[in-house]
Amino acid sequence: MSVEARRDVFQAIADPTRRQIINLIAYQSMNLNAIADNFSISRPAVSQHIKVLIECGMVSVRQEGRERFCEAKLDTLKEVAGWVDQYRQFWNTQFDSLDHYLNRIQNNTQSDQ
Amino acid sequence: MENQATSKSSLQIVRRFNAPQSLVFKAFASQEAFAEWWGPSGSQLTLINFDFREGGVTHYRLDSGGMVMWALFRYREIRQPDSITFISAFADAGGNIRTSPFPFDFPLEVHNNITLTETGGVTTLKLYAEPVDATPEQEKTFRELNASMNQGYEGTFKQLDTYLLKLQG
Repeated sequence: MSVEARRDVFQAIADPTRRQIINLIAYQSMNLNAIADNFSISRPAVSQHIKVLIECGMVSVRQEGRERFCEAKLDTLKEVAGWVDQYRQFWNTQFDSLDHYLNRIQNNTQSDQ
Repeated sequence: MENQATSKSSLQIVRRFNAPQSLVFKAFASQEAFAEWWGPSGSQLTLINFDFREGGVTHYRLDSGGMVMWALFRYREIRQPDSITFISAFADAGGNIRTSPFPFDFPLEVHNNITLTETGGVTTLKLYAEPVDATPEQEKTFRELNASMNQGYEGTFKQLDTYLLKLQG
């Protein structure tokens, strides 16, 4: 069974550490070491969270000399900033799942007859 | 001002399902059925509590790619076979309401109403959702529900305290 990794804003911000990272760099870009200094978890663990944030389009990395600075892409956050849009997306996903379920059990019932 | 407008807004979704009304209702009402479809695909659902009746609470946990979140439903009015009204909220492991995992304005509780009508074997589902603080009356009802819920959990925690004290005794 393969579980497809979802890379979207929801996943990005569902983790408390990632939310803290976004809050941290929301108003000033920071390099990885500076970000990691704010957390008790290991640097690779922080790095992994940043990787997810980059993949979700929440953070971009800017190279400056030998340093890499992480910037929050707040526009991405603004796109989903309305709860109604989030909630609509949530329920539409649920209803897709309900649709599959209803089709499945009705097909099972028919083949039993 | 913009935030204010956002938090007051509401949501309506209309979906048609190729299934009789009773089956769609059961998908919400039966624990076995609900566990089959609830939760986004790719995530694992754990029903901590399932109590589909007025005043009942369904509390669940979702695991998805290493992330964990809890949420709950509090059923307010159930009219078989065509209407379900409930409050949904994010929660913690103990079933206490928590702010959303989103770093933006998401209502603490959302009031949801689902109605089902069937025509020729096709069921139309209408979902209407709005923040709980939309009207003072809703707020009052919610506070009452909240108070009785908290009492329930307080009782549980008291038992836990007693147990822990005994262990350490």
